[in-house]
Formats: sequence, structure tokens, C-alpha cells
Amino acid sequence: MTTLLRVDDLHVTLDTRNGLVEAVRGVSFSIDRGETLGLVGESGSGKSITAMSLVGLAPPGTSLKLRGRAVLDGIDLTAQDERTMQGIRGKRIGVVFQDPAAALDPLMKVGEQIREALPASRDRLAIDERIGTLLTEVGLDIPGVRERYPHELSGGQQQRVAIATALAGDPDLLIADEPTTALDMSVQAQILQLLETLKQSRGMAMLLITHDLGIVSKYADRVVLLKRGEVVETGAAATVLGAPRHDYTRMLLQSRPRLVANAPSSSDPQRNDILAVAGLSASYAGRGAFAPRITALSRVDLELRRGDALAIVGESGSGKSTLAKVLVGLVGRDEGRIRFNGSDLDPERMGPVLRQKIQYIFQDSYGALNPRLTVGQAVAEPLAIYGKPRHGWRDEVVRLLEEVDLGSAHLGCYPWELSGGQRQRVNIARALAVSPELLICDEIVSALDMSVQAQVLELLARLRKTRSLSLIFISHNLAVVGALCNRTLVMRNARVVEEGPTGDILTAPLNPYTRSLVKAASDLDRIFPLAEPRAFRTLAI
Amino acid sequence: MRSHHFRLVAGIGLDLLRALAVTLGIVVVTFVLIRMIPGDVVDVRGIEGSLTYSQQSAMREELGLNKPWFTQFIDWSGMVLSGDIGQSARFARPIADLMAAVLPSTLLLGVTALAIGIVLGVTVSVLAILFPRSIFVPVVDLITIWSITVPTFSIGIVSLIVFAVWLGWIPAIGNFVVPALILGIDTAGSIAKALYEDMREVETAEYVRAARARGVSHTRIVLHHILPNALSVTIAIIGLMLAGVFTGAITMEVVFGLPGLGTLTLQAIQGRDYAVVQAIIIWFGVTVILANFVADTLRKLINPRLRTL
Repeated sequence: MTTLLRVDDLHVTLDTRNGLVEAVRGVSFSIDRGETLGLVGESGSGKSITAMSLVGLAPPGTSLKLRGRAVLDGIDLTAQDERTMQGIRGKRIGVVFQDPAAALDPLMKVGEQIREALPASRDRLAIDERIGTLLTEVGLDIPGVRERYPHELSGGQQQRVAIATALAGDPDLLIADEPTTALDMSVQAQILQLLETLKQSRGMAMLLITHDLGIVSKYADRVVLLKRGEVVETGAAATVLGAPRHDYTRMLLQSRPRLVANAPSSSDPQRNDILAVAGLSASYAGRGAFAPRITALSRVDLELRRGDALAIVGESGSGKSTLAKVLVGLVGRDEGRIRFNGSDLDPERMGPVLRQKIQYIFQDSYGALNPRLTVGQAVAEPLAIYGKPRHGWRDEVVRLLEEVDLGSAHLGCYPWELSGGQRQRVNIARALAVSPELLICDEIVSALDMSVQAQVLELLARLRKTRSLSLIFISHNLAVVGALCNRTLVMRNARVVEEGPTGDILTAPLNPYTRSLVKAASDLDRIFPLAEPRAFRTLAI
Repeated sequence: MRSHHFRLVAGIGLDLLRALAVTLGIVVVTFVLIRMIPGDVVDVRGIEGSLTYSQQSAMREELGLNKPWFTQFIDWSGMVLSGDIGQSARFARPIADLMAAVLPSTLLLGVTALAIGIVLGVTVSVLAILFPRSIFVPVVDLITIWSITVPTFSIGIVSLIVFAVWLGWIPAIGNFVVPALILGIDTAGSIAKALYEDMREVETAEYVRAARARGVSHTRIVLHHILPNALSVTIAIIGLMLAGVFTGAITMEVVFGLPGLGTLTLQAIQGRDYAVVQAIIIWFGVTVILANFVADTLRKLINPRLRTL
């Protein structure tokens, strides 16, 4: 096979408003024609910037300074002016972005967005036919789809449109930047399979950027592992993942969530229900004046024993977040009964005493913190609200921060000075400040790197034991619940599909939908058993 | 019919209903407010000495001014609905004739000024985005600061002195071009600043990067992606600014001695001519509501996501 792209000692410096940042430091790799190269690393490793610098696209608000060489078919991409790059983008190198909802212009119809990527031509009929071919190629054979706006499509369909726009110029190389991270589990596999099929049918090379080693092992021929802008390890995917030579690679492999149920159930002798929900329903207003209301929850029952951890698993739109929000009164309920600690609870009219007992942590760790408050002020806020004497705040806050593995050094930090994992720890500390009995965690690890994810899950498991907390843990990913939750509830289309001990759900799911979720999670999980110490493979699927 | 088409039509229908309700509110409030001002047209005529006390009473009787407000409102509404907006007690002419005589010149001035403002504001801000290192970026700031800090009447008087008195380029009374330009630049400032900042914001959107990655040219990205996505707020602002443009037009008319609504309003207020003032205020209200309705409809046509009810 011949080399399509050779990157030699590439340095990328970002010119930001706060000065220069050296994001990529001497990265070298090559891609052959028709080959898939996995570019792997955690956030901040420079994997996206490396790829985007090949098409000369800087992150918003910055500009790129490139050093080194990146030769595509004899053209040095680092030395071209904007006009030449415009001819290369789309035609030689196509790009698929992470979040299709953001990557498509909301005001432009699907057909128009694809048309724009096609080479200019007067022949309207030929162009229309070409758009049709592209839509068929990405599996979007829905009549009238080109007249639709992006918001009228599902996430998977949007990503198919985005792929069609990237393919319109018949590129030799497709850069796929975390193409499935923003999508539901079951759709992820379809999109990855589509990319693989397209790569083969078109003989295209692919640069697949991901943080997920499971995806790499299944779809990449070779892999380049990045850490802080430098290459850590490179080689054939099977070799690197099967016999990693570096600690960093091993750490990444081990922090991948496993489909293993090893969370203990509560050791509380009383074993009474802390929360019991019966026949809970909720709905949202429809999108039109006369449109029927959209059912978000339909007669949901659940019970949570004191000290247990319950995972609520489902895809987007399944109602899992609505359920959690109803429990704290952020969303109103239509009917149903909620009992907390043996007495009826009306979450929307919850007094301050009850509010302390149920705390909620959000997915977006950054949005949940007021950017004008320091960590110390943020964690002290609940103490102030509930009238704790001021002289005790500082000690209390430090104690809380230490409990979540932060310390007094973080007191004066602002949210933007912290990493995602640290911010989520601050959110946990703030929730703990009022000594809750029930902690509701809404997708709190899904935006975090896998190694950080594992640490936060570990922290939650520890807190559950030391504080005898009851947990409700919402997740779209079955793989992360096993280590933390002893019970799992699966939701789909506003209903509970299946509920039971996590071990049973992972090993012997009864419902076909649960089975498909487990399969989707385990498909990527099963591929590189070699890298795992035996202890990690306690569960055979 | 696709669902967003249905929502579009239904949304516009609802907007129209809302506009009618607001119009009714304006009519009622105006009617009451005007009658709360002490003194009426008969008092003014009395002070001017042309009427005896009994003549005044007879005139009140004739005009219906001695009836309760509510009865007056019902009588007046009946008249308006039958197409008669009343007589001016001061000028002894139908209000419709009075307004018809001055409206065209005020409308022409206002619409010309708005057109200059839109064309100038949109052009300058689009050029500033198209050529980010050009002179157009400071020009956006310049006309914005100009429109905020320089009152139209003062620059009107200054330009009269410069162009009419010193240079003699324009007549001192009845010039149309200069006031239209002054009002136009005043309007352009707000439009340019709002649109420029919104376009800067949209420029950082992922879909702009994605379009760039597809090899779409900068010009096409600005005109087909950034501008439409940024226009929504600007269109709403233009709708709201219409009221300002017409108030500005009234001042300009007085400064430049143009016949128009401005002069008529002044005379009507001084003479306590309820019926005329009321008609003018309501005309203003309806114009502004109509402009906002048009702006909302335009935004719905541009942005399918606004087509909710």
C-alpha cells in the first residue's frame, strides 16, 4: 500500500487571547491509502488539534501556527495559503464532527447543506442526482429528507447527513473526530459500521479520533496514542492494545468501564425503603398549540432500599432524566405517589428540611457552578443557606473537599481553573455539605475522560459506604453502572422495561431491549481481553 | 403540508390575534389618558376669548364632551367602526383629511430613513465580517457611537447652519435629503452594532467550522450561514426601532420646516384637540404593532425553529 499522508515532527501552537499554547509537540505518523488510523488520547491530549491542523482549522477564537511537515500526495499541508486549503478541504480531506446537531446549520435544509459541498456545476439535474446518491450511500433513503431542517431529524440521521456532506467532494482521507460520542449507544454501532463500509467501498483512508479504546480495537488498523501533545505509543492496533508497552496505555485500558457487576448491596440491617414511587407519570407540552402532550413518564414504579445504589439506564428520550427531575420537583408530575422515608412527598412543595435530604448533581459540571464563585464559596453556599455559624464554614468546607480528594489548595480556585473531574468533585462536595440521605447523580461522569470517570465512580462507591448514602445513578452507558450500583432499572419510551439486581441485568437480561443494550456495550468490550489482568474479567457475557 | 408549514401558518395567525388585542389595548388606554389631561378643546377656545360660557356649554353638548367617558368611548368606537374617525374641533375639518394631507410626507421621510439605516447598517457589518482586518470594523463602532451620542435634532440644526446658511447647498426650509440621511445614520448605528456582534458570535459556531471543513468559501459562509443565523435578533430590533424612526421624523420635520405629522401633532396638543391627538397616537401604535408583526413573521420565515406556538 502507498502512503497517502505523512506527518513529520508536527508542532502546533495556538494563538489564543491569553497567549500562545503549544498544543502539539512533534507528532509524527503516516496513513496509507485505504487504511484506518486511530488517533487516541484523553481530553487535552491534542488529538483533535492535530487532525484539524491538517485542514488548517483552528478552534474558535484562536489561530494556528504550524511547524514541521504534513505531506498529502506531495502537497505540504502546513505550507499552503488559505485559498489552496479551501480546495483541499472537502475535496481531498473530509471531516466528520463530534456533535452533528451543532455541525449542521440549523437554518439550512439538508439537501442544501450537501449541495454546498459539491463541486460547483450548472447542471441542476446532475447535482440533484448526486445528492440522492450520497443520501442513499449514507443510508438516508427517506422520501423528502432533503427538504427537512436538521432539527427535524434524529441524532443518528443528523450524523448521516454530516457524513454525506463530508463525502460530497470524494475525499481521499476522512477525518472522523469522535463521530459517535454524542450519540446513543445503539446508534453508535450503526454509525461506526457505516463509516467502515464507506471506507471500504470508496477505498478511502480514515483518521479516526476517539477516546474509546474499544472503538479503536474494532475499527482501526493502526493506532497513535497521544498524551499532552506528544506520541506515547504507536503501532498496529492489536499490538498496542494487546501488549501495551507504556503505563499510560495500560492505565487507559484498565480505566475502560467493564461490564462487571461487583457493587455490594446495602449492609443496613433495617433494610427499609428510603424511596418508593408508584404510578408516576409526567408529560411535556407538545410542540404545537393543538399537539397532544408528550408523555415523558408513564406509570413508573420503583423502590429504593436505604443504602442501595440504583442505576437508571436508558437512551436519550427514555425519560430517565425526567424521572430524576420529578423526584426533586424540577419537573411537575401528572399523577403518582412518591413516599420518602415512609411519608408522602410532594417534591414541588418540599420544605428546606426535606430538600437537604435529597440532593441532585448535574451532568454539566461547568454549568452547575457559578463562574463568579470560588470553590470555597460554592461549597460554603449551602452552609450559609441553612444557617450554619459562619466561623465553622472554612473547616467544614476543607473537610468536605478532602472527602472528595480535593484540598484546601483548591479553596480559592474558580471553576475554569479546574479540570472536568475536579469540578464534578466540587459539585459532589457541595451536595454533601447538607448531609443528604439520597444523592441523585444525573449522567455525572458521561462528560469525563475514562480514567477520570473511573476515579469519580470509585469516589461515589466509597461515599456510599462511609456515609451510608442511597444513590440514584442515571446513565446512558450500561458499562459504568456495574462498579457502583447493585440494582439497575432500564427505561425506554417513558416506561420501565426491566428492573433487578445489576448482575442479573448484565448477565441474563430478560427484555429484548435490555439484551440489545448489553450486547452493544459488550461488543466493544470483548475485543481485547489480552490486555486485561484476569481479575478484570470476572464476568463472561 | 409539512408540519413546519402548518406551524408557520398557525403561528402567524396567532401573532395576528395578539396584534389585534394589543391594538385594542392601545386604543382604550389612549382614550382614557387623553381625557385625564386637564382642560379640553372648549376651554382653550374659551381662554382665547372667542366663546361665551353658554356657547361653551352648547359646544360641549354638541361634541358630547359632557357625557361620561364610557358613553363617549362607545359613541366614538361606533363612529370609528363605521369608518369615520371624527372631526377636529379646532380646525373644523375631518381628522381623516387633516392626516391624509400630512401623512405621505412623514411616511416618506420615515421609510426612507429606515431604508438608509438598514442598507447602511447591514452592509457595513457584513463587510466588517467579510474583511476582518479592514477599515469596516472601526466604522461599525464609529456609526454606533455616533448614533448613541449625537442627538438628531442638534445635528439637524448644525447641518442647517452649515449646508443652508454657510454653504447654501440646501434650502433652509423644506429640504428632504439631509433629515433622511441624519435619521438613517442614527438608525444604522444600532442595526450595525447588533448585527456585527451577533455575527461574531455565530462565527464561532461548530456549523461554520464544519462548512469551512467542507471547503465552502469565506464569502459564501458569511452570506449563507453567518448572516441568516445572526439576522433574527436584528430583524426584531428593526421592528422595535420603527417607532423611534417616526418620533425622530417628527423632530426633523420641525427642525427642517417640513409639513408633516410633527407639526400637526404640536398644534393639536396645544389646542387640546382630543380627537386629533388620539387619532395620531393610535395611528402610531398601529404602525408599530404592524411593523413588529411583519418582523416576527419574517423571523419565522427565516428560522424554522421559531415556528412554535
